[in-house]
Amino acid sequence: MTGSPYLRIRSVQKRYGAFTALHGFDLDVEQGAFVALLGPSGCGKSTLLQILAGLLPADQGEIHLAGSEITKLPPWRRGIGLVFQNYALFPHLSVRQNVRFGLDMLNFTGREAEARVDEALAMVGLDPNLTRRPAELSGGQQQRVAIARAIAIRPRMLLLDEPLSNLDAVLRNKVRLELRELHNRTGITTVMVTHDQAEALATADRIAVMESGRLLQYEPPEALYRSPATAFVAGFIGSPPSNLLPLSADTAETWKLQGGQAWRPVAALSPAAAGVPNGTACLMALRPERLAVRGTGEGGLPARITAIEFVGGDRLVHVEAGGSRLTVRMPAIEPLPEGPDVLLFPSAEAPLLFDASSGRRLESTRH
Amino acid sequence: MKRRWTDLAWPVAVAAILLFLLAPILVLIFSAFDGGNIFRFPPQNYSLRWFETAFGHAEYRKSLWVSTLLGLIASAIAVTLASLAALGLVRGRPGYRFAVEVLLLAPLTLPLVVWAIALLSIYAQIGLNGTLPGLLLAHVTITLPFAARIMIATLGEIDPTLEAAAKSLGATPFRVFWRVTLPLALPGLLSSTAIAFLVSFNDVVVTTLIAGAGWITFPVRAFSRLRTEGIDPTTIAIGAMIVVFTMAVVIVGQRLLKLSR
Repeated sequence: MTGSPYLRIRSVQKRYGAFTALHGFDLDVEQGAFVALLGPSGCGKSTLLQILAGLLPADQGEIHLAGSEITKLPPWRRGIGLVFQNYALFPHLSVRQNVRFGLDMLNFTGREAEARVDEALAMVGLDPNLTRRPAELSGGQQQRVAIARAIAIRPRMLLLDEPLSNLDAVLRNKVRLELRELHNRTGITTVMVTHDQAEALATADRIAVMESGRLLQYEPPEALYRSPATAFVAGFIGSPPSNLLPLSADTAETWKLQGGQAWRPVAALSPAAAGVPNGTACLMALRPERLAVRGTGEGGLPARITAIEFVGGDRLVHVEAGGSRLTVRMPAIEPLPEGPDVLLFPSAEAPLLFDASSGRRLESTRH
Repeated sequence: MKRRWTDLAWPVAVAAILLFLLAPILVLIFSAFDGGNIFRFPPQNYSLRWFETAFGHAEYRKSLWVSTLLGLIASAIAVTLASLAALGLVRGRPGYRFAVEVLLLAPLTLPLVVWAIALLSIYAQIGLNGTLPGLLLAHVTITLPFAARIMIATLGEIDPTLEAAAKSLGATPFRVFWRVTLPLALPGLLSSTAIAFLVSFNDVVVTTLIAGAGWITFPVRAFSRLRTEGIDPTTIAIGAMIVVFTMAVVIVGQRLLKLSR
């Protein structure tokens, strides 16, 4: 890659008394990329967004945008567009005046300003003649106004704080797609904060998975799905997320499930099992869509069905197996064996193994 | 039959309450037009003579002028202080917020007479009694709690993310204040100014005790007249004018606010 990245975050740290919200955070974002900051509540993603916007000072670290350092710049000099979770539209101004606000700050006047307002409203699919006050609009429309307001100033970077969380389920999917399309059209470097992994997987070019103020993995969606770096990532990504079956290493032939039961030669299933010392507590990632439920067969994991959910084209079969609760996702069209006692069979693809205490993925020692 | 009776009960009760509240004002306005030499209601012959007298009466004119001036200055100071306090309490959210709010309300917890007497003795010590600054200070103090309550509520309602949004769009702190905070706080500023003015204008107790002979306000003049000479129809005429003026201000203010929404 030639040159330095468009957005460079280096060693950013933020503490609140004894609590560290961000531990020496590093991240690079390429120009024009759509990056998601994904993680559960309290992982530090919103804190990082506020620091990027300049609304919160970092205790330590540097931030560079388009080659210049912005760490100490106040928010009104950063040229960064921000879309808030609650939209934060100015209630005393009309829709057009809201969208025009940033342009007024940049001293755009008259026809040029109005033309930009028209352009921004058109880009988010709103009627340019909308003269109502924000309070009179629906939630979805308010959000579009908020986005239009942020892009009207043609910002160097766009920050979105949980843009879809206040929308109902139907609108969410629609707007999700529109956000991606908007990004493709404008090419603005975008950073989106979300706790919804499906949203991140669907829209982002790269996802930064965060937990407790740390970056766990920063890769494109498919890489995160296929090769999660830690048990946490595996158990977070996916709809539903991966099952994590506790196992403890035993002889090469059989490993023990929770409760002491032995299970089929795990080594045959997963090459990474070979080098693991006896007694190590591990977690095996079994993706719901990579498990098959059968009535009979050799070496299957014994399970008992507790509930079945119908989700349109698929069925989610919830079972208890090996002392844990697991979920299997299978096409609704496939017949389910007579329950409640069944057998689970992982598909041919080798399931990943993780160390239970550190969460790190165990790699195969054989090559 | 029963249904009809209870249907009437509620409107009748409301009408009775409204009548009770408004009757003194109506009596005031109507009897101001009475041509007789004493205050009587209902008016018997209509004349504008007391209004003429009111405008010609130097004492009353001066006291009205003092009241208005005092009210305007005291309310301006009180609202400014209240706004600054509210900004600090609402935005800063300090740990001592509750204590400060209680302190701001303190002047209202005592009967004004008691408070004024205590103030008088303090003023006597430091030589402020009978002076305009002393009177002004006292008026600011009794109006501040009202202004503070309103400004704390008003600023508390303004979403702080609005200011963050304005900053992200390129607004410097001054422009944030001028284009976002001030317009949103305006209704609160206007109503706290109005209430502070009214409290100051109408005050009798504090002003009677604190003001010297040089700074007699209208209510004090009217009250002292009342005790010596009975109800002077000039006072009634002035009172009626004040009521009409206040109502006009309120009506105009309401229309302006409605237009700006």
